[in-house]
Parts: sequence; structure tokens; C-alpha cells
Amino acid sequence: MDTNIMQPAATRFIFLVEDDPIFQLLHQKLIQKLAWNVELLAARNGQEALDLLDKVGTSDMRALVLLDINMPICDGWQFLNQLNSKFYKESVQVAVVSSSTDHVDRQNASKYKNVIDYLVKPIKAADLEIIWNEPSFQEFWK
Amino acid sequence: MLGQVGNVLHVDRVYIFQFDQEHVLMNNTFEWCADGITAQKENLQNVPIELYRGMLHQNSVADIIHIPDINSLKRNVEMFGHLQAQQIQSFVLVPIKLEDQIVGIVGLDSVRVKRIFTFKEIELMQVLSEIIGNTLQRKSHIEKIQDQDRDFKNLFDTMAQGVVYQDANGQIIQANTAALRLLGLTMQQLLGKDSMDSEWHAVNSEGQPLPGDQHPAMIALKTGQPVYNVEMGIYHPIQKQHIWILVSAMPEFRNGESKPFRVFATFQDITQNKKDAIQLAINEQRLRSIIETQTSYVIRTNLTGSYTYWNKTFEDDFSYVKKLNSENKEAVLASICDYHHQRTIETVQECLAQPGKVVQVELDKPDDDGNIRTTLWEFVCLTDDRGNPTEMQCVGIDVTEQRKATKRLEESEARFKDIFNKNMSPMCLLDPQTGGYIDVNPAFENFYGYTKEQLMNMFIWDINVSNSKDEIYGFLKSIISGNIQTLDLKHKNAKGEVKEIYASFASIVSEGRQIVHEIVIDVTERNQYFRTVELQNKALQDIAWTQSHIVRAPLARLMGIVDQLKELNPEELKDWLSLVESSAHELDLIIQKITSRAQEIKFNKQSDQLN
Repeated sequence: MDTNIMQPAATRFIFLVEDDPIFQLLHQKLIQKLAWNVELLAARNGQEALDLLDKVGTSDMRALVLLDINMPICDGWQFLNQLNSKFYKESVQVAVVSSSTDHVDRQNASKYKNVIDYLVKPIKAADLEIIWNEPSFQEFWK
Repeated sequence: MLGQVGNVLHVDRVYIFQFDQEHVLMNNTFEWCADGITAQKENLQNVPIELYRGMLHQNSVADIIHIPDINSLKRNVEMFGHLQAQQIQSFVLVPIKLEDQIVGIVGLDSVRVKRIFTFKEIELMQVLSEIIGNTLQRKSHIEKIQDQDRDFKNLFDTMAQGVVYQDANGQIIQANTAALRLLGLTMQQLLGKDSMDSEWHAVNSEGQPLPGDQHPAMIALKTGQPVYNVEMGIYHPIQKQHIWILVSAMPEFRNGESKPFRVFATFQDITQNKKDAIQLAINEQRLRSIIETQTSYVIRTNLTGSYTYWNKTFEDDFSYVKKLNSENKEAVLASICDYHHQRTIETVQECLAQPGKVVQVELDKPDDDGNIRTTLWEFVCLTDDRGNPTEMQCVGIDVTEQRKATKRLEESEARFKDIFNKNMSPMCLLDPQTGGYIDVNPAFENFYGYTKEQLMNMFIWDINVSNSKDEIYGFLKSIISGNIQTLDLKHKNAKGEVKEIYASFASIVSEGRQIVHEIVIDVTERNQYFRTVELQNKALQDIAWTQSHIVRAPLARLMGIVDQLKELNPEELKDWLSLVESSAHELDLIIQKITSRAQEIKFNKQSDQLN
């Protein structure tokens, strides 16, 4: 998958923000299997993700970010903090995807308005389907 | 008359001498001389009576001196000389008597011839002397009467008392100057008025209207009896207010009559006295009210220990003294607790030794209910006009509750002192104005390693190493205002060791000023322990995080791969994969357990609890 800048023709995105290439691969396969009509974009850290969002972000964009926490350069918490100051923040919802089972991480994630779920790796297709089928998410996505 | 006698008796001179008894002299006051005979009256003034008395003694018969020939008096050189000078040859002197006392002489002189006067002639002289004597007497009486009249008039006009004469009908017929002045009327206005005149607006001593017929003069006229010292008020037309007079009225009777024909009333202005008496009565009433209503006890006693007066307040609490007093049982001492008898006696003695001096004494007295009341008194000895002690006057108050309160306060103070001094926690009292130590307990001395004497000369910043002087002043101010109650501080003791202390403060009032009470708790070890535990916690948290993120990451990866492999698999791969899966899950459970246990180690610094 090309992680370079995509043409902003699409308005529905799923961002895979993950520094581990194996998890990148796994999560891509999951989403491909789900066959959602979305543009799939990948970033290796929070800063890359923000840069991508800056480029594709429009008023009618909708983005679901699957966000790892422990990343170099800009970790998941730093990403969430910076997202809060972006004009498109209302167009982005985040599912934190982490190896950590520490409830402190879960509690920290819930403090962010954009975070809609906390998933523990390895995530399954069912986890994503639950998010996808959530009425509030459907409302957001349409 | 002298001339008639002289002509009848054919003598040359007839004269009268009057004696001036005071100066023992006699003066020729009247003289008749026959024609051609030289008058001697001018020369015969201030003649010593002794000359006459001398002759009277030697030459008289029944006080009559008959000298037919003056040569018989040659031996009395002085007298002879006088007689010769007057060319007298013969003479007769007959005394003029007034009430048996010789007050003068009537005399006959024969100048031209010597002659012997006959008994008849001498008798005539005696009659003359009697006439003169009677005349003198009458004159004297008249003069006396005139003097008396004059004196009376002077007195009447000048006396300070007013005098008014009223006739039998009560009309004023005469008044003296004082009466006019006192009544504020002229003679013209006064004469003719009577007691029934409404313009007097007379009132009695109580201020009630006094009808005219009840005025003293009218009563005296009616009853014929004198009336003495009646107080009445009458309207003074000039002062335009009532004045007060004290009136006495005396009826006067003519001889043989039983009804008075006249009355005279004397009166004096007692307005000021009356005002003073009224004011005195008011003051007395006021004083009595004050004494009777005041909350203090007021009593008086005689010098033998009995009550002579007590006010209502005293009677309300100690009414039993009535019985004691009536039984003459030294009621004063009997109403004081035994153990204060000596004190009472000593106080009275001190007062008697210095009358007028106020001496304070506290005495316990049983009240009507048998309760002991502590009373505080001021005793003073009263005296008569000559300074002799007469009575004791005592004013007192019940101080029972105050004494109880004082005692409670003292006990409370003692309790606080104990709590302060015997407390195991270091405590001190600070002056918030200066930052200096006012008091420290032994535990404080031990903790800091300074003696109390040393600390009394030290300030809080001598010990405090965590804050500046200004900060400490700020703390003290905030403590006084109640905004700070505890502080974490660092204090250095005498050995130079820095201790972490937890100080709690309270602002208290002592001797009218605000001071700070400090309790010191040494938290050095505790804080050290907390710091250690915090470090351990941090370490554990780090471990938990590492395990959660780092250790688990490959595991999660593995598990994700396995999920993928499942879908691609031939039958044999499944068995191998299920083993890999179960191991991975087992590893996962262990890691989750470790993470959970690490999360259980919580330290809440603020609650100081270990869960």
C-alpha cells in the first residue's frame, strides 16, 4: 500500500497509525477483509498521521484512526493532544489500539473526546465490526 | 414757779440743782433771781456732788440743810469759798427725791441779809421739792415712755420680721417696713386689706389653698389665743410667684375685755428654707428610692453590733436578720460565717480608728436558704458633729458567682498548665508581633536541645530553616486571622540537625492579647518512609508499564499472526498452531496478573494510607 499522499478525491478514511510493520500488515488485512468502502492510509508515528490528516482534511472528511500508543517521535498521547487543536478534529474519531492491558492507559484514553474505543492487540475483525456498526459511529460516518 | 416761791419767801435766789449721778456732779438747771441779784447759774455747772454730801452729812436735819450764817461753814474752806463767791449769807437746801433717791436740790439763798428761815418757809420748800420731784418723775416717765415709743418705733421700722396690725375685723391698720418689703406691697396697697382678700392666693404648707378665715391672724382674733409658727405661702406681686412665710399672731386685749380688739402678726420669709426643705425632701426621697431599689446591699449598724437599717435588696436575701436583731443577739456577727468573724471585727476596728475611711472586706454570709454567699463590702464609720463614731455604714454586693467563675478559671488555667507542661508533644507559645517565644514546654526543650531560658531569648526564625523572616511573619499573621492552621516546616535543632516538622497552630488570647500556640510533630522519619515508598511505587509502575507495553507487544504480535495462520492452514498446522496459541495465551495471563498486582500497589500521599 502506498503510504504516500493520496489524491484527496476520497472523503472516507481509515488511518492505521502504527510503528510495528507486522501489526500494520495484520490490520490492513483485517480491514481489507471487511471490504469497507474506505481509503486506507498508514502512518508510522503520530506526526506522520497528523501530516497526512493535514493534507487530506476537509470539512466533509470522515476519518477513523486506529492509533497505537507506544510509538517513536510522536506517541499516541501526543497525537491526541495535537489533534485537539486541528480544525478537522470533529471529523476524526479514534480507536486506540494498544498492547497495553493497563487500565491506566484505558482511563487516559477515555479522557479524549475523539477516542471512541480502546482495543487491545491483537484486534479481531469482530472488534472493528462492533465499532463500525455502532449507531453513533454510523451517524458520524455518513 | 421758782419766782413765785422767791417772792413769797422774800429771798434773793431760788434754784434747782439736778444730779448727774453717773459723773457724780450736779448742775444748776433752774434759777430765779430777785432784781439786782447776780445770777450764778452759769458758774454752778459740774459742781461735785461731794460738796453737797459733805454738808448733808455735817449740817443736815432730815436731809434739809439750813445755814442761817455761812460763817458757820468756815471750817469747810472750799464750800465757804463757793458761798462767799456767790455773796450768799444764808441758805436752805432741800433735797429733791425720786423714789427715795436724792436726784437734786432746791435751794434758797439770802444774799442781802443773813436770816433764819422759819419752819413754814422750809416746809414750803419741801412742798416745792416734792412738786419738783413729782414733776421730774413724771418727766422721767414721759421720757421713758417717749424713749420706749421711739425704741419701739425704731424696732418696728427696722426689724427684719414683718409686722402687721389688724383690727378686730381683720383689716390691716399698720405695718412695718419689713412687712411691705416681704409682701411686695406699698403701705397704700396694704392698708385696708384683710385676710379674706383673694389677692393673697394663700396656700398652706402642703400647697393647698388656705381660706382667709384660717389665716393665723383671723384664728387669733377668733379664738383670742396666740397662734405660733404657721407656714403659709402667699403670692408676691413683684416676684410674680409664691413666697413662703412663717407667721405668728398675737391677739391684743383692752383691759377688762375678753374679745381682742386687735391682733398683730409677725412673719419672716422662709422661702429659701422651704425650697431647701422641699429639695431636701425630694433628695431624701430620691436617695431612699435609690437605696431601696439598688441591687447593692446597704446596711447600717450601731457600735454594739446590731443592725439599724437595711435596704430591700439585703432583706430579700438575709431576712432572718430581722429576728436576730429583735432578739438583740449581735445580729451582725451572727449573720456572718464563723471563720470571718475575726476579719469583720478587725475591719470595724480599722474603721473606728479612722472614721470616714472606706475599708473593703470580703465576707461569707449564709442566706435565707442556708447557702453561703460570698459578699464584698465597703465599710465606713460615720460620726456626729463632734467627730465621735456613731454608726457603721456598709455597702456590699454578692460576688459568689464571680468567685466561682474565678475559681473555675484558676482551675482551668492549672489544667492548661498541666496539659502544656506535661504533654509529650513539643509545644510553645509565640508572640505573633515579634516572632519570639513566650513559653515552651519541657518536650519542646528536649526536642530542640535548648533550655527554656535560651529559647525565651530566641525567635522562631532562629530555628526555622525552610522560610525567610518575611514569610514567617506572613505565616503568623495568617495564623492569627485563622487562615492557616498547619504548616510543613524544616527546623534546625541545637545540634544542627534539620528536622522535618508538621506544625499545627491555634490563635489564643492570653492577658488580653493574641498569641500563637504551636504543637510540633517530628515527621522526618515518616517523610523519609513516604519518599521511599513513592520511589518503590514509581519503580513498580515502570515495571507494570514495561510489561504492559514492551513485554506484551511481541506476544500480541504472535497472537495476531496465529489468527492469520489459522485461515491459511492445512490440518497439521492447526495442531501446532493451537499449541502456540495456548502458550501465547498463558503468557498473556501471566503478564496481565503481574500488571494487576502492580496496579494494586497504590500510595495516596494525601490520605497517608497504604491499601
